[in-house]
Amino acid sequence: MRVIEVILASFIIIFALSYANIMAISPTSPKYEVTELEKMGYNVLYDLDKQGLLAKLVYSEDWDNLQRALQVLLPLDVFFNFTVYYTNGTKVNSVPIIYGDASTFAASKNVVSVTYGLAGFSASDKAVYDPRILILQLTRG
Amino acid sequence: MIERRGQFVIIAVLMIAIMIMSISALMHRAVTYYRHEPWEEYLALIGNIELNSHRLVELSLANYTNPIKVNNTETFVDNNTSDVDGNGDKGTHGNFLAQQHADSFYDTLTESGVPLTTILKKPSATSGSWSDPTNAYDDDTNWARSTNSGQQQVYSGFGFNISSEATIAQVRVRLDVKAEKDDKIKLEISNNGGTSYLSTTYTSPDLTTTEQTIWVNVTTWDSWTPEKLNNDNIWARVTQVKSGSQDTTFLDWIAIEVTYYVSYRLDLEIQWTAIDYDELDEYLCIHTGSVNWGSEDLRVDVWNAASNNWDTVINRLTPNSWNNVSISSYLTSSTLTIRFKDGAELNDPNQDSWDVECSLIHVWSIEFNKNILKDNLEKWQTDISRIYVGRGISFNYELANGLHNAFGTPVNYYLGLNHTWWEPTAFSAANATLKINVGYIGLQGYEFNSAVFLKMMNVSKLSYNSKEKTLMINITITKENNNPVKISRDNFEISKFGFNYTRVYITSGFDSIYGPIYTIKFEEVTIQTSREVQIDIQICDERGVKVIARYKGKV
Repeated sequence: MRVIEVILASFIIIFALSYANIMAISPTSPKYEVTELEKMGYNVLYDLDKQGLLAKLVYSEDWDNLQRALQVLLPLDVFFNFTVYYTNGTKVNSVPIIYGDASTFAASKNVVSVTYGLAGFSASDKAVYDPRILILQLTRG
Repeated sequence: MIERRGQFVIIAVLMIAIMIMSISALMHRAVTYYRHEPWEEYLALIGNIELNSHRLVELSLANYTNPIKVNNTETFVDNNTSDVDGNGDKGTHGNFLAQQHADSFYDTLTESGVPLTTILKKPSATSGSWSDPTNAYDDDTNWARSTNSGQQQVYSGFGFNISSEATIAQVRVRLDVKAEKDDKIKLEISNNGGTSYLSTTYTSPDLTTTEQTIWVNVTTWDSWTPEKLNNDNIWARVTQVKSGSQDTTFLDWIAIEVTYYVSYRLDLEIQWTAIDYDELDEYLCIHTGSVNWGSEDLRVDVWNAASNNWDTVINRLTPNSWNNVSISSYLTSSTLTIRFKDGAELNDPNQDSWDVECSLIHVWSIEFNKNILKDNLEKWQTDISRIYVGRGISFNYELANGLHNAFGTPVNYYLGLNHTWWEPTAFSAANATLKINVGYIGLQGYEFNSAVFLKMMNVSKLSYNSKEKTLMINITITKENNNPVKISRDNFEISKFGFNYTRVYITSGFDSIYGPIYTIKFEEVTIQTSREVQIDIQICDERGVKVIARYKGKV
C-alpha cells in the first residue's frame, strides 16, 4: 500500500516539476538568450535606420563606420557578424563586418540571425530604389 | 497506524506538489517577460517595412522631380556661307572647320579693315590767272607766280580714290611758297568740285624770299568723308595777297595729304540648317578660347525670321568658357542663323581677333516619370518576399489619385505623384497608402499612409532698390506638416532673366508669421531695357526632392 502511495506521490512531484520547467523560462535559459539577442538585433538596426544612418552607411559602403556604430550600440559582450546582400543573394560587403572572434560563432550554442530589409537610399545628390538584405548574426562572448 | 502514516505521506506529497505548482505559476507570471513572443519580432519587422516603404515613397518623389532629358541633341554649326541680311561678311574665319567640332582647335575670327594710311596727291588740272600755274604740280625748281593782289588760281584733279568705308583722320594742304619781298598767299578749299568753297580759309604770314613749306591742316574745316575727297570733289584755290607794297608770290608745289583708315569690323554669319526645333529647351552654346581675344566686346546676334532683323542674344562673349543662351523664341524652323559682331563698329583703327572653339545648338525636353512610384512599389512588393523568406509577409498599396489636401495645399495626384513648378507657390508631392499582411501571425491589413511634400513660396514680392541696385525676394521652404526645411547654399540653383548682377547672397532669417525664411539678394543689378525680370529658384532638399518656383515682375 505504501509503495503505491510513494509511486503516486513521485508522479505528482515529477509532473509538478515538469510543469514548472515548461512554464518558466529563466534569464539563464537558452530560450531566453536567443529571444533577447533577436530583440537586441532588431532594435539596433531599426534605431540606426530611423536615424537615417543605416541606409547611408550601407549604400556608401562605409563598412568601418557601420562596424563602429554596431559596436557602440550593442553591449560589449555581444559579438556580431554583419553581412549585406543584394536581393539576388550576392554579397555586397567585400570585407567582413565582424566584432569578436569568428570561432566564437562556430562554438557558441546560441547564435541568432536577424534579417532586415532596406528599400533604397534618398539623398540630395542621389535617390535610388536598390534594395539590400541585411543579416546580423549575434552571439554572446 | 500504518494507514494513517500512508495518508500522511499522500497528503504531504500533495501539499509539496501544490506548493511546486504554485511556485511555478508565480514564476511563470514573473518570467513572462522572458518568454519568446512572435509579436515583438514582427512589430520590429513591421516597423522596418513601414520605415523603408516611406523611404521608397521619398526616393520615388526624388526620382520623379529629377525629370529625364529626352531628345537630347547637340548640333554643330553647318556653314558660314549664308547672307540672310544681304550685307555680306566682314572679317575672316581662321579655320571654320574647327567651329564644327568640340576639340582643342580654334577658329580665329579676325576683323577686316585698313590701318591708318597717309597718301599725298598732287593736282593734275588748274585754272585761273596765275602765271605758269602748272609749275605748281610738282616739287621742283619751277614756280607758278602771281604779281597781282587778289589773283586766284584753282588746282584740282588730285585723284583720290579712298574706300567709301574709310574714316578720314586728317586732311592737310602743302604749300611750298616764297615771295619776292613779303607778300602772302591765301588758301581756300572746296569739297564739291569748285561749286562752293568752305567758309574757313587760311592766309599765310608774310612770306620770305626763301622757299618754305607750309602745311595747312584743313581737317577741322569740314566733316570729311571719302565722298568729299573722291571723284575730284576736293579743289584748292590760292590767292595772291599783297603785304605792304605789291610784289610777287611764288608757288612751287601744292599738294593734298589725306590720312585715313577703314574701321576694323567683324560681321560673320554662321548657320544651322537641320535643327530639331520643337523641344522645350533650346540653347545656343559657344565655346571660346583666350589665346586671341580682342579688347573689344564680341557680340552674338540671332536672325529673327519674324521681324527680318538681328536681335542681340549675347552682348559680350566671355573668353575661355561656354557661353550659353536660350534661343527658344527664335528657333521656329530647322534653320537658324547667327552672326558674330564686333563691339566697336565705327572709328576702330585697331584690328582684333577672337578664338572660337565651337558653336552648337543644344536642344532637349524633359519628361517626368509618372509611373515611378507605382513601379517602385511593385518591385518592393516582390523584393519584400525575398527579404523575409517564409514569414508570410505581403503588402498592398493604394496610390492617391485626384484632388487631395496635402498639408493645406490642394494637390491633384496622378498615380500618387504631382508637382506644380514655375509658379510663385511651387510644390512636389507624393502620397501612398500601404497595407501589410503577416500570414504567420494572422495579421491582416495593417495600414499606414506615407505622404511626402516639399513646398516653396514667396513671402514678399520681388523688390528692386534702384539706389542700391539690389533685387531681393523672401521665400519659405516647408515639408510635411508645414515643417520648415533647412537647405544649404549648395542646394539652391538660381536662373535669372532680364537683368545682370555681380553677386547673389542667400541668407536665412526668421519671420514672425512664416517662421524661418530665406532671403535671396542680387547685388549690383543692371536691369535690361524691357524692365521685365524673372527669377527661377530651384531647391533640392536632403532627400533629393526638388521644386522650382518662378518669380517675375516689372521693376
